[in-house]
Amino acid sequence: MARVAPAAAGTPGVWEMTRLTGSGGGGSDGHDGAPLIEMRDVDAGYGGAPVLRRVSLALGGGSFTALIGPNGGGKSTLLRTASRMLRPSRGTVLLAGNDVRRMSQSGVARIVGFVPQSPQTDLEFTVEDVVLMGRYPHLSGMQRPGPRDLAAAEEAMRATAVLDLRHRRLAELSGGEAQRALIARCLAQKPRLLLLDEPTSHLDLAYQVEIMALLKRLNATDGLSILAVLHDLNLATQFFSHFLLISGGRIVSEGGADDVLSPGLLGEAYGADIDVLHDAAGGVIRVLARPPREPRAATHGGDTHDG
Amino acid sequence: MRQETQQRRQPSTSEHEHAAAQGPFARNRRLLAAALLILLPSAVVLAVSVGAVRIPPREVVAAVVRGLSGLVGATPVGLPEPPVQDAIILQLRLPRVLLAALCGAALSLAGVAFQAVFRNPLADPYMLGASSGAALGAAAAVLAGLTFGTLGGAAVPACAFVGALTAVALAYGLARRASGTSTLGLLLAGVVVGSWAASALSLLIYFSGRFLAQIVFWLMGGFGAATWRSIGAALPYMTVGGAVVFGRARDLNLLVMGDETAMGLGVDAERSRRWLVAGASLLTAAAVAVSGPIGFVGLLVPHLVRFLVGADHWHLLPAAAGAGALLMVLADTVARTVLAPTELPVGIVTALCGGPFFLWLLTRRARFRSFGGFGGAGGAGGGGDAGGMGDD
Repeated sequence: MARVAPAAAGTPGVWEMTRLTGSGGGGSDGHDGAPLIEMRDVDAGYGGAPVLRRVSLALGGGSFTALIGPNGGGKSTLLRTASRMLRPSRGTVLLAGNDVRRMSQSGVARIVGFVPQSPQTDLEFTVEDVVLMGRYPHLSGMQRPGPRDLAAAEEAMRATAVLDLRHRRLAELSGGEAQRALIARCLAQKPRLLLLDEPTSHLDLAYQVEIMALLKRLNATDGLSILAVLHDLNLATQFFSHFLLISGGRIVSEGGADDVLSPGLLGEAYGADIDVLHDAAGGVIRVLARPPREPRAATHGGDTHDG
Repeated sequence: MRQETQQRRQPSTSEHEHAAAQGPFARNRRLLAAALLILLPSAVVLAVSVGAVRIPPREVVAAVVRGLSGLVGATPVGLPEPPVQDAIILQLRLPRVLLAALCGAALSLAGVAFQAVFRNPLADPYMLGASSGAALGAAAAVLAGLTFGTLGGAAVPACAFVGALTAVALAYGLARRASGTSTLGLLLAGVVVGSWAASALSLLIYFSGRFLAQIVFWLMGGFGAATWRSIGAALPYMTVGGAVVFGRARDLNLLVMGDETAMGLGVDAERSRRWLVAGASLLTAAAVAVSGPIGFVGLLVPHLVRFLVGADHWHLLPAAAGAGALLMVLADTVARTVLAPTELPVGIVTALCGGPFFLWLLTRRARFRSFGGFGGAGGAGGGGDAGGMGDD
């Protein structure tokens, strides 16, 4: 039982420059060289004590990052702050070099796509209706989706393999199909950064892997940056090589698997006894928590806002 | 790089139009649009033609044409007709039928908006206490000695209108202070304000003495007192409210899916909700002021239409307006003819016919239950307020 495995090769750099060429698609591209998303000294919360405390981070274009940490640690809050759903009480959030306070909600939506944790899906919308919603940030008030938007929606549905389901109602889809439809909506949005809040939490094993592989492919082929909240650390190690560990509203550690997934850091963050195992055959790390000897101390802030 | 790929893959326009014309609801949408375009005018003409004096539909149309040309100062066309019959058509029946159509459309639009904003299939236009508030205003006006004749009949509707908007504003203000207008907080505040206004109304009714009949008559709801003046009073508010709701059809699509989805797709959920609640309340208040509280239409029509044309509000809103207008015209026609010369309150007709129909719709397909399942919020509010006020 080796304690820690060496890092998987090819960890994307945090400060990696944006890969996007000057296609001019979004219309609000930032200064070249600026990280895609940057937080400087951010406090954010829901009134009362802030959930995020002095969070600073920077993710470049093309990054593929798992956001991990205990319940109530601030994962969802960080995603909400990054997508301007939550205004920070201090500090600055920059998207492609632009302060989000000076951006419109649609302006943010043209850069950041957000897949919520448990969205409403028992609805009379067809898959195509839902995917076309991804075009709303690109359309003005009363404008209807045109051929261009239908093309974008179609491409997104093809990428997530829901094109054949386009006329099916969302309510009749399986969990995995619905999740793919929602990811398709985000792709139709043509964001540069995709934020996902536990995209696999309601899915069975096969769908979990399918969604992860889809994300990996989107990252590899389209250079789409991805920041996903994941509870399942083993799933995370299977697909991710860059991690952000957040606990108690602070970023505790950031980097490759060997930096972040250490028994000490994880044990302290989760308040549990953690073993990190190295599977020699595939070089895959497994993370195991031992059953607690005593009840876990609630040291990680309110559980109400996260999870 | 991605952009270029998309350009290349983009298929021809005709292919997209073909694709967009498919889907489970596309055929229904076309059928319903065609049906409403034919049925609504027919129903209006038919409704005007039946009554104590039966008037052939052709003469109804002729009278309307004469009335319109008289309005624009043109020479009357066609044969001279007995002025009494024209008066019946143009001064009594037509405004009544048109007011019914307007109120049906307004209540249905408000119902669609509230169901989406509250993400609650039980939401109806009276969700935030509009009907109780209006009833309280109307009862207070009657007790203060204003009759249905005061100010040319405008006094009681004006008080009802103010009462309805006050109730909604109160509910909204309470919820905002308590919970920052979460949908659940708003819903609970609406229930509380509605119940409070209903109790205050009961108190007024208890002491109303000789005004009792007048108040109860108003509470039953109906279009018996309709004049062109009532249309003129309600139409501006309905136009503004309708414009707000139609203008945010897209927001409604997103709000149904939750605030995070809406914000993630560029909509300020809180602000949008504020506008939509204001617009829908204006529609409701205008309707309830001129017709009294009429239940069930605003609850049932959105479900019926969603069942037919799907949840995309771009199609749902106009379809609901048309279907609501049609149903209300039919209900009012039934109400005044089925036991003629006795006239039933239209609220009784909508509830008696609407209840079983709603149940049939519920049982017909499991899929109808979709747009349900919003946790526990559903049970709290809904029909109670509207039904209680309108149909007792």
